[in-house]
Amino acid sequence: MVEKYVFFLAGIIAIISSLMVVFNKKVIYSAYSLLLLMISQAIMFFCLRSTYLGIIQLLVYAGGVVVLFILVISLMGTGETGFPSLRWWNILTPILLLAFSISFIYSILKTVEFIEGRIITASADRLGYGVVIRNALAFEAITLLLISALVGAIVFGRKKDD
Amino acid sequence: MIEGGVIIGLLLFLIGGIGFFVRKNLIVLLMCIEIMLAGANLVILSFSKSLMSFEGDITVLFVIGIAAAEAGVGLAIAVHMRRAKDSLDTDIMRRLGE
Repeated sequence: MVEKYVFFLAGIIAIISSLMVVFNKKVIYSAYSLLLLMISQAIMFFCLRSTYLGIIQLLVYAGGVVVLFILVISLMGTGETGFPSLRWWNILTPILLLAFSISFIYSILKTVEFIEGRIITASADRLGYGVVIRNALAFEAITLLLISALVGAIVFGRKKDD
Repeated sequence: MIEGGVIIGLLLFLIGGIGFFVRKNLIVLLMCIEIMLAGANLVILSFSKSLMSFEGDITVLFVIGIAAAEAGVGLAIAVHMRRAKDSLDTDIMRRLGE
């Protein structure tokens, strides 16, 4: 019962912090809000009994990706742009997206029947078996993707003359 | 709790999508993509918990790996753009599409 309240509290924090990411003027504050979002999402994963995923979320996102964002911002300066003049498609597309999402949420709540039964625990050994044994091809594809991303980042990041 | 997870995930996806269209800073655009991926993760996990399976956990693990690769390449592009154009405004790069 307690974890339900914790789940919804973390969800509200996630939504507020994602709004702060989008509508903050300073980019570094957006990065800190993204950190808050990732931590609250890890709490939601813990409440859904996916403890291993929550730990991975904390390690990879909060410890890796967001720290990389903060490092790049503080090394390069933010290149502040703020909210520049928006064209008509910048206004129209979010409105269309909003209408689509509201109708989508409504139709899901009307049609899908959620089973509020026992939430099974996804432990590390089940997950490891599922990833490495049953989805071996996708696992190897992820490996190739990460290596090619590494090479691409090195090629983009170096200067021209060295 | 599962319905709440689906709705919160969809709202996160919506906020990320809106941010992708209203902001012009390249790093903020990358952050918006991260928000959208986080929302998609939450929806996948909630539906898989509703079906009493842990297939969703496996998918979310793969999505986290892809997001990490995307952030690395995207930030390398941001560093390159900052060095070449001395700005992160995506309007400067509009010449690419014309």
